[in-house]
Amino acid sequence: MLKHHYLSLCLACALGVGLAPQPALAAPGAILPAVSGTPAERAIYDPTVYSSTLQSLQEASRIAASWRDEPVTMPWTSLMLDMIVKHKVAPTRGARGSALLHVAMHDAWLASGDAAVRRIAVSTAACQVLGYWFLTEEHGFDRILAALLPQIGASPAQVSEGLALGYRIGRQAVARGEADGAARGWNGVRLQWYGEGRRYGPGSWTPTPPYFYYPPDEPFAPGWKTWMIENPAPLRPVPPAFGSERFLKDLREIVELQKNLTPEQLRIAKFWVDGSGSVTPPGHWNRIAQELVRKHRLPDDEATSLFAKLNIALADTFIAVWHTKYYHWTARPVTMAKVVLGVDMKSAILTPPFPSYVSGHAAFSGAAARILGEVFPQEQAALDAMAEEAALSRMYGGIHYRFDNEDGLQLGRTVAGIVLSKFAP
Amino acid sequence: MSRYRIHIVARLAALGLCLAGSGACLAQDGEVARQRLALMGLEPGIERLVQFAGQGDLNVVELLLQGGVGAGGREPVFSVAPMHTAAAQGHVHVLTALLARGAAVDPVDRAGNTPLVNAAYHGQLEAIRLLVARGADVNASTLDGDSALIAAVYSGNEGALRYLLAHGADRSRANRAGETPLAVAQRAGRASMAALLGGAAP
Repeated sequence: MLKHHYLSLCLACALGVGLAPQPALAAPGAILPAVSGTPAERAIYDPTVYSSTLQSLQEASRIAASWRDEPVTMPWTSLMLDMIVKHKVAPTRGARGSALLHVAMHDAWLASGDAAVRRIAVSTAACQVLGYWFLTEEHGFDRILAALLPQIGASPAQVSEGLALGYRIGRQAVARGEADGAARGWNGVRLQWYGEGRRYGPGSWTPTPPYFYYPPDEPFAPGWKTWMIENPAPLRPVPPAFGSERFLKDLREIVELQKNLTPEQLRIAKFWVDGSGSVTPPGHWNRIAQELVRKHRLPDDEATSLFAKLNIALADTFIAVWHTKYYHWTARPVTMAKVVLGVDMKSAILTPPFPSYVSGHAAFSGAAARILGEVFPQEQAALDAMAEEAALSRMYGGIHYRFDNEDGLQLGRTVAGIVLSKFAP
Repeated sequence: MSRYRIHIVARLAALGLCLAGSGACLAQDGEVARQRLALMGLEPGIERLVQFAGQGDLNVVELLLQGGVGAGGREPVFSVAPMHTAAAQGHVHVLTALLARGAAVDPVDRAGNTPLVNAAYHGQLEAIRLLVARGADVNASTLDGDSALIAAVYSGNEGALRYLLAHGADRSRANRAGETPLAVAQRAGRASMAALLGGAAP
C-alpha cells in the first residue's frame, strides 16, 4: 500500500499537482505546532533523520544534471556508492546489492521504448532496489524519484508507463533478493551461526587479533544464489598444504614484508584497503568503471550493459570466493606466523574476520579487470596492473599469502570469463 | 491462537507427558529427541552431530545421539567425525558421551587427522589425556606426516608435549617435509620445547 501511495505521489509531482502550500492546522488547544513555509522548505513527508526532503531535492537535481552528459544509470551508481559508505556496508553485501541494483536498471533500460520512459523506468527500478537494500531510507528514495520526475519532461502517459515498468522490474529484483539465501541465519538482530561446516586441525582458521571477532563473516554465503556461474564448487582452487615448502615460503615472505615495509608498500596497502566505511572493493571497481565510462564517453546502452556485467561478475566472484574460504578454512598469516614461526606479527592493516584462502580482493579485482578490459581493450594492460596491485596490497597489508592472491586473481578471471560468455548483448 | 502456536503447544504437552513418565517412555526416547530437535529446527543428521560436538553443546549432542545419529558417523565431505571437532575444541564431556555411545577413539578424516592430532594442535591437554587413556595412537600422523607430537609443538602447549612424550610419542618421527618435532620447535623459536625434545635451543 505504501508503495502505491508513493507512486501516486510521484505521479502527482510529475504532473505538478498536490504541492500547493497547505494551511496551518494548529487549532486552539492543539498540541502539534502549526506548520509553515513552502513544501520545498518543509518536508512533504519527513519521517526519519535520513535523507531529508531538501537532500532528496538536491539529489534529484544532481541526477538530472548528470544525465546531460552521462548514461542514465551512472548517477544511480554514484548514489549507491554514497549509501554503501554511509551505511558501512560490508563488501559481501555490497557485491550482492550492487548486482541487484544494476541488473534491475539493465532490465528496465531494455524494456523501455523511449528516452523519457527509460529514465523514469530505470530510476523507479533503482529506487525499489535501493529502498529494499537500505530500508531505513526507503522514503528518501521515493522522494528523490518524486523530485526527479518533473525534471524529465515526460508526458503523463510516459510517466505512467515508466513508473509501472520500473516498479514491476524493481519488484522482480527485490523478489530475487528475497530468495537468494542472504537472509539465512539472520534473526533480525544478529547472525545465528553455530559452527556449521567449520573445520579444525592443523592449519585451520581461528579468530584473529586484535579483536578476535567471531563468528566469521557471512558463513552462509557459499550457499547464496549465483547469477551466472552454475556452481562454485568446480571452480574452487586448492591451497598449498599446511607446512609444505610453498606454504612456508609464502608465510615467511609476509613476515619479512611486515618487518621491512616501505612507505610505498604501506601507501598501496592503504590505498586499496577499502575497509568499513569505504565504498568497499566492489564499489572501488564500480568507481573505476565510472571513470572509464566518462573518459571514453561510452553510450547509454553499452554503459548499462557494462555495469550489469561488472556487478554480476563481482557478486558471483564473491560467492565463489566465500565458498572457497569456507571449504578450506585456511588460517590467516597473523595466526600462522605465531604458530609456525613463533613470530608475533602485527599486520599493517586489520586482518578481516574470516579465513584467508583465497583473497577476495584479488578475486574481485581479477574479475573486474577482465570485464572492464572486454569493453575497453585499450585499457586492459592498465586494468590488469591495477588488479595485480590490489592483490599485492593485501600482502603488503599482511593479511594474505601470495598463494591467496595468485589463486584469487585467477578465480576472479575465470568467473568473469563465464559471465562474459553467458551475458546476452 | 495461531495454528503454529497450537502445534508447538501440542508438541510441548506431548513432550511433558512423556518426560513425566518413567520406564514406559524410555522406548520412545528416540522419537522424543527427534521432536525436540524438530522444535529447534535441527535435522537429526551426522553433519549436525559434527557441528554441535565442536560447539560443545552436550544437550544437543545427546538429543542427536538419542535421535538415532551414530556416534561413529562421518560427515560426507571431509570424513570428519564428531570426535574430531569435540577434541579440537577440548570438549571432554562431549568426547566422553561419544565414546560411551561407541565412537571409535581414532577415526581418520580425509586429511589424515585423528582426534588426538586435532586436540594436540589446539593445545587441548584434557582432551589429550582422555583420548590417550582410551587408547588413542600417540604416533598417528596426518597425510602430511604431522604427528600429534608435531601438532603439540605448533600449539605451544608444553604440558601437552610432556604428556605425549611420557606416553610413548616418537620424538624422531619426521613429517613429509623431513621435519622432526625438534626441527619444528626450533623453527618456531620454542626453546623450552626444543629442550624437552632433546635438542639445542633455536
